[in-house]
Amino acid sequence: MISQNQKEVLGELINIGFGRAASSLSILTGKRILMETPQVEVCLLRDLAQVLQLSLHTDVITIHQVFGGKLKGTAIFLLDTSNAALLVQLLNLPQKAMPAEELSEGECDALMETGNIVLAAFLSSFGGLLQIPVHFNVPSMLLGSLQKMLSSITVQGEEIKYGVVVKIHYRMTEGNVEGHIVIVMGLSSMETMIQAMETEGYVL
Amino acid sequence: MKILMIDDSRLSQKMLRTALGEQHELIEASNGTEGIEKYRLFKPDLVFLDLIMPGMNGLDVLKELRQMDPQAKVILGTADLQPVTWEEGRRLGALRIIHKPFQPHEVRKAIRDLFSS
Repeated sequence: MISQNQKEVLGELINIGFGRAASSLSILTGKRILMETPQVEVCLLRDLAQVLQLSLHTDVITIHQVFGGKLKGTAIFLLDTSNAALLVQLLNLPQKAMPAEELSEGECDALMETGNIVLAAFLSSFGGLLQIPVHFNVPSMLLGSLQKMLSSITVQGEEIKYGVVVKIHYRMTEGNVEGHIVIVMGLSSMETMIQAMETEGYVL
Repeated sequence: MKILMIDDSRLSQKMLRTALGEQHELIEASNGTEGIEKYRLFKPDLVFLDLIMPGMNGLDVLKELRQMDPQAKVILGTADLQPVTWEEGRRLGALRIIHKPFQPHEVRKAIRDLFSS
């Protein structure tokens, strides 16, 4: 499937790809973005909660960016509801009291656009490193439990149970917002990715 | 100058409004169909056009604008950093691309470059 060496290389490429995304998030919020080493796993989607170290019952807000081309998958900008409220404040919108289901249309739009900008910047950069063009669909937003979100993930309209999961955990200095970016791909896209990594000389 | 902003995101419209300041007349459209209609009605000097929108996407809007008015001046606004995206936009007649999130100095530079050349 994916060797430890390939996982490490992939993690480094994702690190680089996230650089532009982090820059965009920093511009939007005015805060410095700190990122942990990306974690790459091949796992069942139902185990994603464990990978994220979140309970399945955690209420989350997610922005989903489906992407296609030679690499197909879903990129997810994920925040629990309290971090979403903090992010809304950093976007210079009026501070929102929870619960999240009372987010106004403007606040939802702001979160969606933020997720869109960050995910598109990341996917564009990452695709560029692999020399693989990435096609984007219109992003969508979900509010609800992590469990509900996981059951909605599809790749090219097909429900996937088992995939490559990349977890990027970031936080902002001062603003104390933290969140995740999760990339879910099917196994055939993982093979394409590994092949591209070898072609570009990243994996020796 | 009369500027038409076609973008489904209010956040990006707000950022663009901030970047452009008070000196221009701004017209907003939240989707491609509305954007085309407002172009026809108001005949703006410049269009800022989002690429990924529900319904008509930005490239389809660009095609239609340029068919309607071959002199239409369009700047694409997108978070997609891929050169191939810009090449496609340029092929269809866009004059510049600005990456989101919009930064005031980049927006003003793009307008300055466009109208001084």
